Amino acid sequence: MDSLVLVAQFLTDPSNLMIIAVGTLVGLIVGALPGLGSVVLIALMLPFVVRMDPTTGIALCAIVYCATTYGGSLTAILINTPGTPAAAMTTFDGFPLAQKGQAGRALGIATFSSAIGGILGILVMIVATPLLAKLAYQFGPAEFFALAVFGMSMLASISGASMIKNFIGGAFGLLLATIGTDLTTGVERFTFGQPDLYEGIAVVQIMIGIFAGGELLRQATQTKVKRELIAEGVTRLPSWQDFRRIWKTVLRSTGIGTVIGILPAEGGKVAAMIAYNEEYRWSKNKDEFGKGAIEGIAAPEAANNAATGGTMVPTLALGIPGGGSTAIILTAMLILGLRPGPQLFVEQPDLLAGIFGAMLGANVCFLIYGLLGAKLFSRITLIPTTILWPCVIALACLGAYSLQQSMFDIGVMIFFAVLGFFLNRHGYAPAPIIMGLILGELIETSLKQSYLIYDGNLLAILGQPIALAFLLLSLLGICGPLIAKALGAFRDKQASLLTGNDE
Amino acid sequence: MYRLMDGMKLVAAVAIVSCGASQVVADDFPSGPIEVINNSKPGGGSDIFLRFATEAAAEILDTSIIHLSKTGGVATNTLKYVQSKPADGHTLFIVNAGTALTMMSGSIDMDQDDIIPLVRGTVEPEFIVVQAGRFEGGADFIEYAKSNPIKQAGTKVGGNAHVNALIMKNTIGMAQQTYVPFEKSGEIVINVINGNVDVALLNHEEFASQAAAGQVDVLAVLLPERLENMPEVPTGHEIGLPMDSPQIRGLGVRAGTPEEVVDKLEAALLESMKSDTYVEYLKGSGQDLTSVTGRDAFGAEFKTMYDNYQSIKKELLGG
Amino acid sequence: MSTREESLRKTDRTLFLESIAVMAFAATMYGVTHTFREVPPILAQGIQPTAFPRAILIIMFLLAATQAFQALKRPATEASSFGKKKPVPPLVFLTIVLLIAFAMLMPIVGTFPAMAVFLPGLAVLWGERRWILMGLSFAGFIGFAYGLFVLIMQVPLP
Repeated sequence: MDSLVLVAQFLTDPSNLMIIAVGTLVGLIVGALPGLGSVVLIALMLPFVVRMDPTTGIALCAIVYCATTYGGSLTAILINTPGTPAAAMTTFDGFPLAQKGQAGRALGIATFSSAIGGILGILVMIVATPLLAKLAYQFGPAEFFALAVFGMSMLASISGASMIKNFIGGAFGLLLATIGTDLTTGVERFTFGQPDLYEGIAVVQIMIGIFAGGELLRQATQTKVKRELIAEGVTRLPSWQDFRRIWKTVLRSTGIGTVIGILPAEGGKVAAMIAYNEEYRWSKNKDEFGKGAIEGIAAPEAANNAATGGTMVPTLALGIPGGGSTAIILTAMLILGLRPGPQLFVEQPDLLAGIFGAMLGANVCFLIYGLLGAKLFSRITLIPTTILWPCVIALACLGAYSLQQSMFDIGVMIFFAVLGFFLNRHGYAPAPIIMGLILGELIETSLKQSYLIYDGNLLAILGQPIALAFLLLSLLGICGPLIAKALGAFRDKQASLLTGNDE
Repeated sequence: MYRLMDGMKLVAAVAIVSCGASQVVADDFPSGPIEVINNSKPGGGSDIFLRFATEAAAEILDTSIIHLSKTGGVATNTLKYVQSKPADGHTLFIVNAGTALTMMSGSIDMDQDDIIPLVRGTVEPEFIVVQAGRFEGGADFIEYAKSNPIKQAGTKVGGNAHVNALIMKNTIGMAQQTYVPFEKSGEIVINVINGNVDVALLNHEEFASQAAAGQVDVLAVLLPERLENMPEVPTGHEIGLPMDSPQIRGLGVRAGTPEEVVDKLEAALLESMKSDTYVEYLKGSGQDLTSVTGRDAFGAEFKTMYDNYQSIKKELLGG
Repeated sequence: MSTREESLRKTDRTLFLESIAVMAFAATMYGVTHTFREVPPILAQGIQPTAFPRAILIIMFLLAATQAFQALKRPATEASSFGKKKPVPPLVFLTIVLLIAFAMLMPIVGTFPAMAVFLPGLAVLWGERRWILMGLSFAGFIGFAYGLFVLIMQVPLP
């Protein structure tokens, strides 16, 4: 109950409301810009966030995360280009409906479903996070090791060219995490005599490079693409009939989105895909799908916004990122000296209330923006890439430099931009690499600690019920997609439509 | 003879010039922001100490203070960073047991003569903490440890806590001790509570809330005398563990920093630590202003610590 | 039909070569682990700092080997979803060169002059010819960046 009071306090402070209003606006615009999404935006924001007061900084990340997820749907509906990968499924029915001259109706359904999904997802998060965090008292090294392995095993099912490639990417990330001075022994590993690498490779610079820089180079392959505002429309609230048609869809998809979001490594993109598929599977009028079915808009939008709250749960409770964006938010928290887990709830109730409040506020705020000015925001997407991207990459360079005032960091940023681009072309997506990078240290230290606690017998980890459960789930996570593939139930077609950064 | 005279003239000339220069340096000091380097992660006990200790100093010296953290290899990366900076007083760093240990371990080409310990800020007592109800008392634990293997949790391997664990093992005559390193004290407490490890040496603030909740027991405080505000906790000497291991933290600069700058910094830091906020901070862990000492006393103390650690060097480094 | 099969075979060869490259990388890095300093047993606590990186590299090598094996075995139909790739346009390489030039120029001429050259440079490279639009937006952006980094964050930029 105390936490609700704190949330209310946060939301009544005018300066916080300002931050929500501005943060949501920025998030909405960036989300609507194709190629730019929450991952790129939060990565670019990191250099600033780590200089802010922790609550404001992390709350701001959470705000833009919510707003970008919704912003992506605007462009999906109006110009048939998903503003973020999570909005890819929204183009299937959103754009056809807009073409029929009902853009306002499509935007209304998307806005409404996004806000409901988002708010319900956050409510689940407010309840589930402290519960999961309490469980963390039973989490020793064995359990954390198993949990981190579970996180890595989810790489099997996130979309991408192939499971093996995701795992190779994950292993590469784990390897990157070992660069620098080993914390327990003080031995330099893979530093190649470079003093700049003693402290480990700069995670933030890698993220900026691999997400923002990699996307710049991808844009360079398609500078000829022209975007046009094909449909226009003023957002309209869903009619009573529409509402009656979609409310079940919204609730179902919210449930799917939240659960998928809570699973480590899975983000809004996968949530939207599964929700759309489920809606199609159970729908009575299947032939309407792909031609402008409002359920086809409501399902992915409710799911990907619900996933936003879901992905924050394991991030805050256990320090295991729920997806790409939360991986960056987690990094920001660690730099600010905040360690997710049960202590966080005892020591920093303000911070958590701030995050919860900010996310709730952002959802309400984008509902208002969406109803008032969807048309305006969609016009912003017509900023020429030739103007936008040089600015983005310059911002990335300055941001990478400003963290430690080091030219070496710009070098790291550019190196990973180039590396990330070519790896992505060959099917090694950035998200698994980042997951490995984030979880690497946890896996190594918890493994070492387990080795000491169980007198060198690592099999004893299997004797811990929670750890065993997670390891079995990992096995299921790896074998599940294989089995599904064997049964032919895995839809290659839809998976291959989703390219680019995860989430 | 002739040459020697020349040489002496030269030395004198250099001395005069450098003296004049350093006077100018002292007047100009600080000519920019002062960096304070911590050797552990932000948000930990050392970070909090450094921020409180230097808070008022920024105003006194009329400059800004930047806090940086260079972790890795106990104090290795901190000292490496300090080494890469000029000895002009613009780079301060934490001086604690980890500093002495790192110099000893040979992971860096520095010894005690390469740094000047400026001021001491804290002398925090350590407590023996175990799972609630696990042992009858301190004597029971020591009896158990003499004939059973013990898993002891602490922070970085090769750091202060590890060394104290080794001293504890030798003083008790433990049958077998496995040291399990964790990154943060919060994890140590959790693993003491859930029984993954048997014992840990912790500062009061690191286990205070869990002790209040009855999740952990405190067996002893490692000090010569009982604490005034916790008279019920016996000392290590009383339960058969005669060792004192208060956690000492202070600030230092590189040797070779002009004498006038060192004086100015010492004075500013001592004044900063007399501020109300710092006294409040000390109170939080049961200390008072006697924890704060200047350069002479702290230098001598650091030297003693440095020399004492030589005795366990062999055990630690296996050499 | 024959050209299609050829292109498929080509895809498989790419995948095979890719896997070999990953295997070579893992093997090389494994070699590098031999240069790590050995630590005394009490510091290593039973696990040498080489153990974890080596385990990852072995896993990476095995994954790549599996992939190489699959590339050789894969039936033509299954490879179809990967399709053939267009070659990387030269524009990408030129963009990379420009980016590196920008980073090298920053410490020499200063951040903002370097940006004043780089921003229009990249835009022109990407085919932008509306000079007034470019002038206005980039001048505005440089002003924004100056305000953000120099005035608000007070970062000492080169």
